[in-house]
Amino acid sequence: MSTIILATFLVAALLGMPLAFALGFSALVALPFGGIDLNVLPQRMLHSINAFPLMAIPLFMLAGELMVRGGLAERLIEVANAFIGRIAGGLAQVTMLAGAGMASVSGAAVADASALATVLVRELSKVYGVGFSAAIVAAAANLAPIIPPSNAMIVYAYMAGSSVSVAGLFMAGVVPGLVLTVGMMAIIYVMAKWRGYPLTGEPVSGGRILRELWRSWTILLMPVVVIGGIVAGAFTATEGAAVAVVYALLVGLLVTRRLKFKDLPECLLNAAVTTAIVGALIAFASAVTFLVTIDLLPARLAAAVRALTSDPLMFNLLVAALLFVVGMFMESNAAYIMLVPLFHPIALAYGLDPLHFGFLFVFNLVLGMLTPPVGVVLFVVCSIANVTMGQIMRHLWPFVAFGFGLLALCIYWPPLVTGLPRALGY
Amino acid sequence: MSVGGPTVLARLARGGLAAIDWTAGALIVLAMATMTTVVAVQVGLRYGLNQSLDWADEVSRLAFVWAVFLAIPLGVKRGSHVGMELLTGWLPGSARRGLFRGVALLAMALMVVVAWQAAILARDQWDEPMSTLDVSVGLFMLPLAIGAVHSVLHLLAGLVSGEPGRAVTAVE
Repeated sequence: MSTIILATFLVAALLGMPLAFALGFSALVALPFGGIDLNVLPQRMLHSINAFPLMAIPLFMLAGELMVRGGLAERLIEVANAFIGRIAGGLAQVTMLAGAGMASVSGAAVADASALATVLVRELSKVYGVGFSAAIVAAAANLAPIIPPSNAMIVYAYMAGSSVSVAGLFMAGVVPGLVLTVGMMAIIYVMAKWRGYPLTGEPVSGGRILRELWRSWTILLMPVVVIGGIVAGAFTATEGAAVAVVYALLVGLLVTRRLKFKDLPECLLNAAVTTAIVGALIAFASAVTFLVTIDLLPARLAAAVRALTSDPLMFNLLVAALLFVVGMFMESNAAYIMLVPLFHPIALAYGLDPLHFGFLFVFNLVLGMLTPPVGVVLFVVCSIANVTMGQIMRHLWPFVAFGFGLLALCIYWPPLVTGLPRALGY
Repeated sequence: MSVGGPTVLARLARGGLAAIDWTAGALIVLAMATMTTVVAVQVGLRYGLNQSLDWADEVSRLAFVWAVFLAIPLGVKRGSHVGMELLTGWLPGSARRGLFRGVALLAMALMVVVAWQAAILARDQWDEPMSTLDVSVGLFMLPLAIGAVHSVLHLLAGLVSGEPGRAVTAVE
């Protein structure tokens, strides 16, 4: 039955059927072969979506929508500008810092890529050219699923089951996310010096920093309230996401005053449709997961992997190599949904730390969003900045290479990932 | 028998589908607003008044399920559901349209089965109440049947036109 599912899925996906429907269609074809009733399909679909933890995804999406409509993103850029001042690659550094700031309240790279590209690409292009500018926006937006909150981590934790806490996984991303941000800013500095880009911005002044901090303190407090509340156990990730929505709504309506009540229906609808894309994947994949599980595929796969190696590090490297290839060709949500139920139990059997393995899994696929031919963040930035993927990749590869270097470091030195969550009791 | 017959029919079909889309959109907005409000109020009540609503979890999940399953067909309409274009990208226009029509037909078959089976399950569960509210638990399954039928309509529209919508959307 598993072979039929795999073959049907691959053929349907290659023929261009959306991945969610390809998963559902492969399950539909396999059901009669297993002598299983057709009503398993809607039952599994509903069972997978009817889950409180998943509600964090539309809520964080909605918070992101409200932030963009409410002008909170522009405020973050102004704060970053005050801190960066007049150094090499200044405006690009501002983009990276603003990307990190947005990542701390939004969980989706695509939403951040859309916001940053719309607001910044034109200004960046005047100084650095459109290829470098688009590359910077793509790299900055890709921080969103690494720095908490992260929709990718929510999906991972949901698919992995009770052994992974969402808040613990959020905390696992903090230190690598900060290292990635600082590292990419250093790369911008070197590239700007090397290429002789002109200086931008004004010299750093304490007065201006204080002024910007005062003007935007309500926005800067948002991640402290939301992430702090989740980590402190004051509320769950889903409740934290609802708090983020209310917070962004109040700031947009009362502080920046850019948000209007008439914007809300469109924000709610956009968040729902975007969630439905991953929702469809989860729903149809759950039927597939059910079928391959009763066909004992995970157990057979585990036995095959254990026959290959008994070394946990080697297993980690094998998974990293597989995800590198998968990330290039498959949309990352589809990959979490199909592969986490297969590999997470094997990782536990190897004695690997679930938070460590989970973070590596997410980080690897997040980097895949920046690699062609299927790089969803690249698609968004290309369409908004009106550049080709080749133009972006010429400037983006040092950032992608640094990301994979950091991934290797995280594999070999787990405390970089697990140190903070363990210190916080996860 | 008039020459303009099919055009009028097509216009009526498009208008009907647009009305269904509008209704689905309104229901989705309502469901999302309900979900957000209930979860936020639950947090507020817990810390503000040291109270909680028994039905908050079930109602918010119900609203979420409605929002997701009703929004799937709007994703089909916008062409937002992610897929691979490795093969289709290389094909000339007419072959690509033909392939898209074939794929849409298979997806329609899938959604017809989902709608049919979900409707049967919703009917079978209709007399069973939810655990915290005196309303049918079949309301959880109903949006799956409705969303699947709505998806079939959009896939049919794509089948006729031979052109999928296009957008890039994801939640990473």
